[in-house]
Amino acid sequence: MHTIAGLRSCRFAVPLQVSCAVILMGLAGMMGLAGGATARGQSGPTGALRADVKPVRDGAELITLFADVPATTFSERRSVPVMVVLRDTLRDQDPENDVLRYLWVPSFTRPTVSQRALAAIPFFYARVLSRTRVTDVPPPLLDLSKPRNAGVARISWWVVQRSLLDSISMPVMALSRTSTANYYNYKGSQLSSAVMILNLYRQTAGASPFGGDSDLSAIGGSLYGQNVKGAVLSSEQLEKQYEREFHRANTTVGINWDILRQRAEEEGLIFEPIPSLTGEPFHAVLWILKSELANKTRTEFNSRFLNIANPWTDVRLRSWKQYTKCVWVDSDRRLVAEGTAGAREDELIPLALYALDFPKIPALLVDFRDTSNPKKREMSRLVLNDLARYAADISFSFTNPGYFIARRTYDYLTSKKGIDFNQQSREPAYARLKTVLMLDCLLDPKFKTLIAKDLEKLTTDPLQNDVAAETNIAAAQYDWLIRDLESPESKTLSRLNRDRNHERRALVHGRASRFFFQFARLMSFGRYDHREQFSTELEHRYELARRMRYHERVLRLAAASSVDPEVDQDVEKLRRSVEFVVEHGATTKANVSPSIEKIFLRSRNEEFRRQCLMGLSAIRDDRAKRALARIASNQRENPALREMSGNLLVAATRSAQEIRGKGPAATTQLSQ
Amino acid sequence: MCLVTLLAASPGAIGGFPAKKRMVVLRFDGLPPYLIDEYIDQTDPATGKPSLPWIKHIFYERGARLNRFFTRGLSVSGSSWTSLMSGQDLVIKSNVEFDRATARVEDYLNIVRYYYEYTRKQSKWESRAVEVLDEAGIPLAADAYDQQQRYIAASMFQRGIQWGELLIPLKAKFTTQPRDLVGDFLLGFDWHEYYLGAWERKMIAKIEHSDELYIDYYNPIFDETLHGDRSRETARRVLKEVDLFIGRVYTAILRSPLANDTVLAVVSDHGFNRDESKYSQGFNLGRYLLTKEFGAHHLLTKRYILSAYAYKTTFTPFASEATTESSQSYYLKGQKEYVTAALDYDGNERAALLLRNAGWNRLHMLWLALRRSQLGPDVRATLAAEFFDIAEAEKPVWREELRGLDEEIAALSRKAEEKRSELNRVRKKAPVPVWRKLKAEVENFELYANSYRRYSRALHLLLGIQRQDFDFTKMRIEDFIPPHSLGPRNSAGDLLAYPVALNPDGSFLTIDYPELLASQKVRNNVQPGISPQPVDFMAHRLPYAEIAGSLSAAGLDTAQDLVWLYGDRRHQAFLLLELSPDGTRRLRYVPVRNVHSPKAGEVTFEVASFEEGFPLHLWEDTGFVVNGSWLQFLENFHTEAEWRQALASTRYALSVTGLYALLERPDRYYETFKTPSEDDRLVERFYNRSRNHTEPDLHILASDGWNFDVKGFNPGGNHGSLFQKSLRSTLMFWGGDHINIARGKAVDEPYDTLSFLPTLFEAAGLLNGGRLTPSLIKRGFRPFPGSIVREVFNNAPNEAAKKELRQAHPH
Repeated sequence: MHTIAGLRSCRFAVPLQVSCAVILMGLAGMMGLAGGATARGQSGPTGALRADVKPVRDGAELITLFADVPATTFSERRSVPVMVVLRDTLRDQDPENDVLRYLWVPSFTRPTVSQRALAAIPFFYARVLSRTRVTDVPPPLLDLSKPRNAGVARISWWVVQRSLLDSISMPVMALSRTSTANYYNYKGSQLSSAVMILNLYRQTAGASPFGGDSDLSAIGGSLYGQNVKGAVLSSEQLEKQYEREFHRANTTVGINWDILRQRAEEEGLIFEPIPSLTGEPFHAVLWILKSELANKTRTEFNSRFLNIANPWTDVRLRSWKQYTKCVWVDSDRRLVAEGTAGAREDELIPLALYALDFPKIPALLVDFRDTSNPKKREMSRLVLNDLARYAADISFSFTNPGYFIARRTYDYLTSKKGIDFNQQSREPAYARLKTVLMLDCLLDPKFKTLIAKDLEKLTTDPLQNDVAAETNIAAAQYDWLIRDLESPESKTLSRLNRDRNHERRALVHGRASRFFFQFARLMSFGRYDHREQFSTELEHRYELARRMRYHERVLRLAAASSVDPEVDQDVEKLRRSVEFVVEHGATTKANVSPSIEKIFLRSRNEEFRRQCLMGLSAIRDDRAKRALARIASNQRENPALREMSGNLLVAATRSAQEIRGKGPAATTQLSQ
Repeated sequence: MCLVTLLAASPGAIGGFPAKKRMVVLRFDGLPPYLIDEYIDQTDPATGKPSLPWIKHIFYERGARLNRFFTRGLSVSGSSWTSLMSGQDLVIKSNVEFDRATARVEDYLNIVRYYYEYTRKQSKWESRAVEVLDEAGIPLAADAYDQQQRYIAASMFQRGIQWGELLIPLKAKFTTQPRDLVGDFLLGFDWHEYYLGAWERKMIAKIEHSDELYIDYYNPIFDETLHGDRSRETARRVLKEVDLFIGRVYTAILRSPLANDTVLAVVSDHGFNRDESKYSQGFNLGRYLLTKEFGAHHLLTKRYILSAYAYKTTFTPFASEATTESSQSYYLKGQKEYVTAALDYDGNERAALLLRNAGWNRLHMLWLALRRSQLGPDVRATLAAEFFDIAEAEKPVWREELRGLDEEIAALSRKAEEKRSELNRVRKKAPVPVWRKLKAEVENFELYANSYRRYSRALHLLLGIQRQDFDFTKMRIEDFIPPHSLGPRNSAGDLLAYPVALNPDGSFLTIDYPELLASQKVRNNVQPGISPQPVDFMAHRLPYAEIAGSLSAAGLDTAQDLVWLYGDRRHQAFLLLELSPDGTRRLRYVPVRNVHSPKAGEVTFEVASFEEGFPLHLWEDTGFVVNGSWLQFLENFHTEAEWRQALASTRYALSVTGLYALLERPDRYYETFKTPSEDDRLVERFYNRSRNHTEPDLHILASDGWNFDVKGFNPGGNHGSLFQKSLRSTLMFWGGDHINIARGKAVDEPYDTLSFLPTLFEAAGLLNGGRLTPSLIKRGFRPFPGSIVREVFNNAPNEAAKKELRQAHPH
């Protein structure tokens, strides 16, 4: 983490900044010692972001990621909750049956009625209201146990929109589409902040507070799956997407950081990155030295990349009355530490603030001289989209090849050339900057307030809340959540129990029945909700099904990454998982046969391989039997194991299990 | 007794076993050993096993590794892989080279272009790097085997393309699961996963089932990923991928029938200079060279340089060069065909700069001035006199440049004809590789002859300039000073006062390039620990003739060219070479200051006393360890081995030996190449000439934390410099039961890239006690200059390997 040497406010004493820097440096030092995953029921610091685990009623735990910061401009809190996850533990200490359920970003809230109304108006690109009060439990940003739901809901809504709402009338179409687009935009920006927090936690702490490193990737994957992709792609694909985006984001920030620094250098400006909580700079400010401006050291300016007006000829800057910052400069006008021999005092005037985590170009978020500048650039894309959508009704570009090609070409060119026009939405960058400001304690409070004020003019989404409101919302919602979880009438826990009930239902009823129950619930507006009769047997089955999911994941991850489990995996853990399958594979639905077969093929431990064969024989599906048949007919395989595999297959056939495909043929061959 | 003698003679092979040994070489671009060391003892909390289980299992427990293995020369892929895979010194010295005479760009790493050219024309057979090595008569490791005995994945060293293998990735893509295809459509195509994955599958199948004795796989994932991303998480993830890949290859070897006779080597071409807490800062040398302050050059590069607004330059894999016009050019506005500078920025912590010949610049500027009609007669006479004076002064250089060139061009033409006849003769019946290679040779001979003929004609015309009958208005300047040519190499004096413009008074506006570059200092240097000066130092080969007098006066005369290192005016150094009568090479580092050129072709200097601040910072480096006094060591000549020992732990690692190897002319390769005919001898001499024409004027080394990648900066990390982090590379060996590689051995002795191939060949039994076997000599191999790393061998029985093989093949 670093700031420009010698920076201090002309108008504010800054002991707070110094203390913040010291504290953050201390925390940064602790990062290397971060313990990673917290034990159940324990809390442990992991650096500037720390995880806290709090047991709640009905067999659950609330895991909160706190940002430990001194009081900031917008909040007096010392520990700011930035992400909350409910872990469903089924009232025991066994992690194998745990399920991660709801993920909250405390600043994510339900829009007010007024906000909703404004958000439905086409071509209304402004935020005029913020939520001021919190009156209910916060809505989860996503349900981690149902990663597909958001995608399915989105597709369903799209079908309803296209088939029903669009056909009613133009106003209905426009209102519903605008409203939906703004909502997804708002949710998308919150998801983007959540990804940023997750990445920061990952970079500082490394291990997951939720149990195992892979869970961080799983959560990251779920965050990326809150759209149509989530309904189509597997969890492995989404996790891979998260990893790719993690790398892409790091690269983008780095390149933007350097390109902006170089451009500042060439234009004679001063570049200052703004460190986030953990030191990673996601934003940067460009300044100009007041003395250079007065001396008219230059007049030329290339605005092509920086997208701001020429500061060297700008009369507004010569009589600048707004925020300035005092610095010390040497004879070459380089910033140096205060009191450096030969240095003199000077003032910096802020010109612009850029998002470094924006694809292709550092995106202008705040122009301190012209606050409408970034907004105009943001609107260039929206106006184009909305005109096509409402005026020409060609929003779904696949159905209009001409529009599709023209639009793609135009998008490609503007993107490739780094033209700040028709670029991607700045809303995610806007939301991330709000999060950074909420947690920042290094910037001069007055400058931070100025940024926040100007930043609010950027957003085009009426559902967004401003920085101060969002800070209050986050704090109030977290308190609400805690109170709710402690309340006997907890809505969150009711929802948890309802979700558990739905899962139990899947163990008892087939698809058709479940569809009927869901339909009935929909028709009765939620008044009818089929509940399974409590029984010890059902509870046992439910518990086993959840444990099976855990073992499925263990085996799937090992199968995906292991070359030889003896060398690169925890064999005891795998053995336990296979044992579980051997024991319960016959009674519990399990999708593990491909994983077990892969592990069998890669292992060199004969005893463990035998166990794998037992596991395959225990699973009541034809894929497992086909795997046994393949092993039995593999000429390169150990004859003893081939024989065992054949015997298990014959035994399974004799016990009248249903086998389709190549299994029976192989069995018949073996029998002969 | 006989067995013992045999073993002692040949440490790589154990007697009694058949000589059929297999090599599996896994080449990783930029894999730094320091990162492996960092993770090797960590435990992965998810598995309870080491973070890098396979590297630990194979090389740390069952194989041998070198703790101090360094890249020779610059830490860039082109030169390093060439040296590693040929076992010979640096014939190719970078990823990109420019021929001064013809401004031809050699982009050795552009595999896409090779595939494109191979498809487009039938006159392409080998990749360019292989062609250059063939011209030098240097075979690669793979050449020790017949075509059917080797498998080489896509890399810069290719002899032909097997389209069937290219189609593997496509086949893999379309036979994958439908859901994966949907995923690729929605998430984007993952080149690494498909392409490298497909090559890997093919290689593993080869290892398990076929008889190939040489398997070579190149993996660029580490280098490509970390150039952009400095994060620890990404480094860990990529390292983990590398580890699993090695594990997959190893288990395939164990499953194969040749398991006992396989030697597995993991090698990287260089290290990687990265810091999780810092971004590598870019300095756009390319853009600066376009400005007046830097000479306003029309600039030749391998790709378009980053312009003012673009985030990344357009990737043009099918083009081999790009010329950027300077809008501020002093005298060549709108004439970008007159390239006046060429820049190689690859590796990125260094750059190589070639400037057009200073004499050509002067003549060009004067000629243009003399063609102006409004000049007064006095001024015209003065300028004309100056023009002819310069021409006379430059004539010895041009004569030297022209010496023997015409007969070489004639020989090239005759060789082209000879090969064309041969091609016509065999075309109908010869296999594709034979006639493709012949066609490529014909084309190359013609290309060389034609391009150099133009250069030769210009030099002849220049030599023919006479005061008496020269009419500026009737002559075409482009005949005398050809466009797209940089002319003869500049002297040190030229670089210290390089003419870029003609002043109104008839004098030249000159730039002192070493000082200009050294004095660059940025204002926005916001990261602690990074110098505001992007340039660390520069290197230039000073021909002996230029400095002989001054060297003699200073008692430093060794009758050899020297390497001049420029930190700033007060801090410079010479690397001197002394050749003993027995051929032993010894080097010495001498601190100097105030190197300057009082008149053309003469360089003077002052010997300085040792103190802080000189290039390579030997004096203040606590890692500089010698027996006895530092001063005594530095005041004497030492062999390469002695320098390696002394410098291995310094900040600049093997910089002294590496720099000399980098700047030395490769003449000795061409001198020792045995040739049957006079034409062959002349062609060989031409190859040597064209190699020497690729020598840059200045090698510019970046300060720590800086890079010169002008096509899109690399904030994650870089290489290319002589820093320890960039030079220290990975080298690890494992051998099957019949291969005598030590188990769990860490070698602390420092070695460089020249030692890799002899050690590998020794392990595979291709060398006989370090000597070339007749079979290798027949295939064109010549003695390896590098020493064998004997510490990786031992004669102890390989119980661990035997046990492992028993487990792999229980029946």
